[in-house]
Amino acid sequence: MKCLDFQNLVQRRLDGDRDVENGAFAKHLVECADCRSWNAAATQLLTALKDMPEPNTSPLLARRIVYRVSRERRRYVSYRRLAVAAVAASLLLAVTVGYRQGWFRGGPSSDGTEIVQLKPPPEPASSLRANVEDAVQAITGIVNQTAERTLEPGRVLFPDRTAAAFLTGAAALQAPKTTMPSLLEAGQGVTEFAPVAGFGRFINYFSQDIPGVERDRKSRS
Amino acid sequence: MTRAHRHAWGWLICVFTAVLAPAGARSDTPGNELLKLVPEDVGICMIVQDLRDTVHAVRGSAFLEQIRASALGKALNVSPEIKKLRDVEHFLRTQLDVGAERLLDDILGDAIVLAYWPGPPGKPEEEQGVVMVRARDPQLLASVLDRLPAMAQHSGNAPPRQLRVHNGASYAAWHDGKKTVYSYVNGPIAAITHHERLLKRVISRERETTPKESPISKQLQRLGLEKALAAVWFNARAFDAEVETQTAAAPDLDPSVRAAIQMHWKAVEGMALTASLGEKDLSCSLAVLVQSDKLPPASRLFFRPGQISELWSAFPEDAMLTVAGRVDTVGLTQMLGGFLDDHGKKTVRDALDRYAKGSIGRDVEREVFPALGPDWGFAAIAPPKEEKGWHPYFVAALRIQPGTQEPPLDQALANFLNGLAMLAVVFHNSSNPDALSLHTEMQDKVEVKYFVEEKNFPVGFRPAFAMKNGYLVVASSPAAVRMFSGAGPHKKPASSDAEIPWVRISPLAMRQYLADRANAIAAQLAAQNQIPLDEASNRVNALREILGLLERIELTQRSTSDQFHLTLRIRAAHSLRK
Repeated sequence: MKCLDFQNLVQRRLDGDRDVENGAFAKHLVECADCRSWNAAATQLLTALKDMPEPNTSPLLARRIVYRVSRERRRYVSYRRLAVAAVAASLLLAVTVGYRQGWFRGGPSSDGTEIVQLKPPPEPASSLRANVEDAVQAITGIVNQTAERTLEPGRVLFPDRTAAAFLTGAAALQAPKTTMPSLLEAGQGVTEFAPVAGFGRFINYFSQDIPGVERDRKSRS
Repeated sequence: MTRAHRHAWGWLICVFTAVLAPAGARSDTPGNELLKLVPEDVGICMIVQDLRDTVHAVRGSAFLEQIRASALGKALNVSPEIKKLRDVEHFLRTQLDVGAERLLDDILGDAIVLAYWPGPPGKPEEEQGVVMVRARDPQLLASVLDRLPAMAQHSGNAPPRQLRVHNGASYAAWHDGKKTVYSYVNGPIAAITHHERLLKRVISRERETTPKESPISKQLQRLGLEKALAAVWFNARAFDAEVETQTAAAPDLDPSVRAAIQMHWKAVEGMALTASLGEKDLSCSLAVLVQSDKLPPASRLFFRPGQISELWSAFPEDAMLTVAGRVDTVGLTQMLGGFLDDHGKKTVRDALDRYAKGSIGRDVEREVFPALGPDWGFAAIAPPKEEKGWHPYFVAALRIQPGTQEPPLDQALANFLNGLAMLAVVFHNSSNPDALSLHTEMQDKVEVKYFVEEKNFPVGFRPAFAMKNGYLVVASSPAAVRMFSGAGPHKKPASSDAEIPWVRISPLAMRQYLADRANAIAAQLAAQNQIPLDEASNRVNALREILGLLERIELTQRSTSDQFHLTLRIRAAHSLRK
């Protein structure tokens, strides 16, 4: 048995493994003075440790250790995320700018596969259409924000069941079954009535040329 | 605040205040100049005038300062949308060499008209429209129109323009990538449309040596709305064919109902939706102009000078919400009956006889209806400070005439309601462990009946009813019935110019109510909505801040023999003008 192997067996014995003290272990103990000293010192250490009193630790010690470790880990992770995000953002920015600038031009190669080539970009023409679209979106956003911030506090005063009760009551006002239309049908009839529907078409007509509005309408239809 | 910020706010004001500013009393205003060019068979015409003066007035107003200082204003000021508007303004400045302010002042600030012709029935795709502008700076207008085709294209290269001639005037035709655009400019006036024939009609009118007065202007003047900042006018005649087709095509519509609809429609000359900005008021109005001799007599009840309901003096001035009016029950019944066929009328009559006549012992149509009203109303009032509960007081009242027979109808009705109340208690208690009870309280010889249910009713909520001073009063508690004073002496008919209030909302009173009962309301809301108390308190405070922007909201009516006006008036807490 080599000294290294013997020392490993001693480590195991210190860990509580009693099966290590076999013939080879005893033989080496007799043959090797260094390993005999080493074994004696390990045995002394084990005895002394068993005789030591238990330390009085705070009940929060475990939590503090976990917190410190996880904080260190988070810091490490956030740094890593930041680094990854910065790289990704740079790449994205580069790709986006390049795309808008028309740097990427594809074209088939001789074997038919598309080749992406970088070309110097033409100066982009900021269009009226794009700016009108931006203005419409901005104004719509502002109106929505204003409506939301104005109505949201008031909504707290009127729980859903109040609205539901009102609607139930309104539905209950439906006229008896006659040729007289119900209130709901009458309401629908009003919106389909020529001048009312005409007003809707008037709005649609003049907004159809507004970019963004037209797209929204098409996506909703 | 930076200059760019102010410009961005200017854009915002431009949109929100598109209904502002009465036009000056010039004989031929910029708006009138444009309206004269609109062919008379137009279907819908929108005009915006004096936008420049209105925006400038609002910009320095105390109301806008109040908005800016509010949480809403602060949030909007840093929103990405304001930044976008700033970017758009920058684009205009670089491309057109003109900023938003100059665009507003010198091109859009005088008058803008949008005119629309609907397509024939079944052919909505044949609709047409034109946009016209009357600018203060003709050179700037021409310059902007010159650059428009290039700006409309992504590439920045101007598409080829054709110059065409009609009636000795030249106009341009160019393609914006989707459709052909025709534009005409002559001095301060410009017109743009996708329809060449329509533009030629506009040019022909513009070239007339003695242009005719616009029928739109005439009708707006008749309605007293010629100075409104924004008006949308409907030409009833342009929709005749569509109304006829719609009513003819409706399969379940009885011939008598169809005839009634068409008769009413033919009596309408025109309608207008308008908005105006006063010193502290923003007013939005719907007006209808009719030929009253073409209306059936029962329908003319909407077209006579109104009378203010007595209940406006019965409810407290500082009520949070008041709704009151006068209704000619008989006339209304007859008008509605005009839209029913014989079978429908019989069904309704039978239902009334079965359910009401047997209980009250009177003929509903001949005795009860004529005795109901004309005054009716409803109010929500903040409870007095000494009241423990936080619930507002609700009071509803309906005038009941005694009638000619014995016992008087109001007594018969009171007996009927008593019986109904006792039945309600019996039915409720037979199926609910929480007992409901009916009590009586005498208030100066007035017998007030009220329900009590300690477990489920909120503190202070004890629904009550009584016959008081000729009114059937239904309220949230006997104390609320006591607050109803009964009407004052019968008012004389109002003059034809008088506005008759229908609804009044007092944000001022609501704000005070929320302040007085903040803790109790927040606690109730937190429990009701399952939210923390802090959040409920914050929402109550946020609502108070919003309410602090306004003083009053009113819906009023004004009628003459040939006009009906319904106006929503919002009064701000501070001046809307500099």
